[in-house]
Amino acid sequence: MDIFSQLAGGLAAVLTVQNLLLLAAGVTIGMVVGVMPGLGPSAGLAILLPLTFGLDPTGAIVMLAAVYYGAMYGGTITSVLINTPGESATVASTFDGYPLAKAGRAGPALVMAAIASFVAGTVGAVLISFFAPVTASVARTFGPPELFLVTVAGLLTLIVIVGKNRMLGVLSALIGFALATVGIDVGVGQQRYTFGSSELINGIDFIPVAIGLFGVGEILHTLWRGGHLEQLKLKAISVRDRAFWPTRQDYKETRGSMLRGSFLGFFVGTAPGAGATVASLMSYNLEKSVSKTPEKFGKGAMAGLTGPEAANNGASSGAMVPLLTLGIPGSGSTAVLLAGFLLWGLQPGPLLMQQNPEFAWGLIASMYLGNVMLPLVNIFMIPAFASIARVPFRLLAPIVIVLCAFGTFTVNGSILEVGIMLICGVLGFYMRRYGMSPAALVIALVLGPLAEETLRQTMVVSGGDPSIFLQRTTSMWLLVIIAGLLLLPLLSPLLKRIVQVRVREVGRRRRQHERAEARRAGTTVDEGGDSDRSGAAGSAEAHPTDDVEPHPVGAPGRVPTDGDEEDGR
Amino acid sequence: MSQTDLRPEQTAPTRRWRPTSRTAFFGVLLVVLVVYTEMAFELEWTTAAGRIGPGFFPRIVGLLGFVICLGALVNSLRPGVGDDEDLLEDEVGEGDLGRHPVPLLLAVVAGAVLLFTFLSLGAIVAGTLFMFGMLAFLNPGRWLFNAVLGVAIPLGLYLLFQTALNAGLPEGILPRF
Repeated sequence: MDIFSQLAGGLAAVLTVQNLLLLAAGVTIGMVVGVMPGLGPSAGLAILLPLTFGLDPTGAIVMLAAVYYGAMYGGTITSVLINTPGESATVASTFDGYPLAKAGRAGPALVMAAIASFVAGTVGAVLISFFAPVTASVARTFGPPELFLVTVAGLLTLIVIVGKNRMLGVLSALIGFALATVGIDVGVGQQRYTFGSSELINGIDFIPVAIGLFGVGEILHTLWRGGHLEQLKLKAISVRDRAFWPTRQDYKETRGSMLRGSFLGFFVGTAPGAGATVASLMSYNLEKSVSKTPEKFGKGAMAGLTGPEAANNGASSGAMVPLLTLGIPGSGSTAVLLAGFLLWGLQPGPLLMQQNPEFAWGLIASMYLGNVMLPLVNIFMIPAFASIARVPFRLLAPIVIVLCAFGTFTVNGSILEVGIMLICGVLGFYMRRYGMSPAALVIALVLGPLAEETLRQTMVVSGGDPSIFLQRTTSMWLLVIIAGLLLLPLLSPLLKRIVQVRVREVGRRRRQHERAEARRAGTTVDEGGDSDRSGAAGSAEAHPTDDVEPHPVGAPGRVPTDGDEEDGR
Repeated sequence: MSQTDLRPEQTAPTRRWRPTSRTAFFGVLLVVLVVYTEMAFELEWTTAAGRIGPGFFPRIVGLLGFVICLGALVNSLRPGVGDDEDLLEDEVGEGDLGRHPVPLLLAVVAGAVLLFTFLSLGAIVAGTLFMFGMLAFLNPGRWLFNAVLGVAIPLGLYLLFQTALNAGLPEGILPRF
C-alpha cells in the first residue's frame, strides 16, 4: 500500500475539530503532568486513562499519545529550572540545562529544548511511517512460537539493558507474570487465585497496578525522602524578556546535535526496554565526544541539552514501532498505551495496520500534528508551566493520591481495585528502595496473558514438542537474539570501548580540522578540545550509558520518576 | 626474649550477617511466592488431552520466583548490604533531606482509612477526611487554606468524574448530584 496515501487517510481521520482539541488538551495536560514532581509519563498516562473512557477510540488514543509526548517535554522544564528531572529520561537534560539556567539563560534553554523535541518528533514520525509498515509486514509472518519468543525477548531487553540488578529485574517480571495468572485460565476455564471473589474472576486489571506502582509509589517515595520539606527557589521567566529567546549562535551550535539525537533516539527507542533514558545518555556522550568544544559540556553547552532532548523525543517515537507492530511495549508508558488499546478492543500487533489501518495511521498522523502543536503550546506557556513547578510537594502529594483513588474506582466501580492500587503503591515504594523494576512488573502483567496463550498455542501446534522453536527459521533467529541479550552483560564493556574509541576519534579529527582551518585563516583557536584528556574520557566515566549514575549537581530538588525506562520508566 | 604487649587486644569489628528492612521485604515476598507456588501445584500441569494445564505457567513462575527471591533474601543478610541502600539510579540533584518514615506511614494509614470509608461515607466525604488528615501534618498551621483545599479537591474531582463524566463515584451520605 502507498505510504503517503495511508498517511493522508490518517491525517483526514485526525483532522476533526474534536481530535485537534483533544490533541491540544493532551499536550497541555501531559506537560502539566511532566512538570509535577513525583509524576512522569507512566503515572500520568495511568491516572488519566479513566478520563478517556467517554471518548471514541481514535480520540482517546490521540489524546493519550499527546499526553505521552507532552509529559516527556514537561520533565525537561524541571530539569532545567530546578535541576530535578521530571523522570529518568530527562536526567541528561540537567547536565547542561541547569547550568544554563544558573547563567540566566533558562529561557533560551527551554526554547531550544522545545525546538529539539519538535525536530526529533518530526523525524521520528517520518521514520515511523516507513518502519512501521515494514516491521508489520515482517511480523505478519510470525506464528505463536515467534510471538512467544518476541514477548520473552522484549522483557529480557528491558531487564538486561536498563536494570542495575538483573536478577531483581527478573524477579519483578515474574511477579508481574504471577499477577497476570489471577483469574480464569483460558485453556480449561478453571479459576486460578480468585479465592472465591467474583471480582477477581476477571483477573487483576492493569490500571490499578500501574497507578499504584507509578503514581502512589512515587509519591510515597518522595515523602519518605523528605520532598514535603523542600523549599524551592524558582526565578520567574517571561516571554516578553528579550533574554528569553535563543540567539543565532545557539541555533548554529545545535543543528548537528538535534539531527544526530533524533536518529540515535529513534533507533535506540525501537529496542524494547532501551527507551528514552538510554537514548538521551548515549546522545550526551556522543555530543561531548564529537564536539569541537567538549570542555564546555557540563557548564552550559547548548548542544549538551539539545542532543539528549532530541534523543529523548526520538525514542518516544521509536518506542511506538514495537508497540504498534508487535504489540510489545518497551516501557511503562507504552505499556499503559497498550492497555488503552486493549480497552478499546484494538489488538496491537502485526495485523493492526492491516485490520485497523485508519486507527494505526491516524495515530501516526496525530504524532505529526502533535509535534506541530507541542512547540506552539510549549514555548508560549513555558512561564505558566514553570509556575506549576512551584506548587509545593506537600500540597501535591495528597491531591495526587486522592486523584489516583478516584480514578481507579471509576475504571470498574470496584473498591477492591482501589485496595489493589494502594497495596501496589506500597509495593512500588519498596521496589524502588530495593532495586527492583516496576516497569518490568507492569510490562510482564500486560504481556503475561499473551505469553501464556502463545506458548499454549505453540504446544498445540507442535503436539507438545518444544523443539518447534528450533525447527522454524524465524524462531531460530529470535533465539539467537535472546542468547545475545543474555550474553550482552559480558560483551557490553568490550562493545562500549570499541564504540567510544571510534566516536572519540571522530571528535579528535573534527577538532584538528577546525584548528587547521583557523590557522589558515590566521585566527586563534581554543586549544582545550583534545579528546583523550578532556570530555570524551570524562564522559565515559562520569556519564556512562548503561548505568545512570547521579550527576553531582547543585541544588536540592525533587525526586524524579521512573520509567522505563523506558522509559526505562 | 620478646616483650609482652600489655595493650588490650584490639580486634577488627565483627561483620555479622544481620537482618535489615530489606530482609523483611524479601522475606514477605518469599512467603507470598511460597503460597503462590503451593497453590500452583494444586492445579493441573497438563490436561487430560495432554495440553498445557492451568498449573503449567504458575508453577514455572512460582519456582523461579522462589529461587531468585531466596537468593535476594540471603544476599540481604550479608554484611555491607545496608538499610539505606537506595538503588534507584535516577535520583539526580536531590539534596540530602534525610529519611522520613512518619509522613510515609501517615500516607499509608490515611490511604487505608480512605479505602474503608470510600463506599460508606462517599467519595467527597472520604476524600475530604483524607485531605484534612494529610494536610494537617504536611502543611501545619494553615488551617483555613487546608480546609478550603481539603474540600475543593475532592469536590472538584467528584464534579469532574461523576457529574461531568458519569463515571460512577459513590455519593455515600451526601445526595447524588
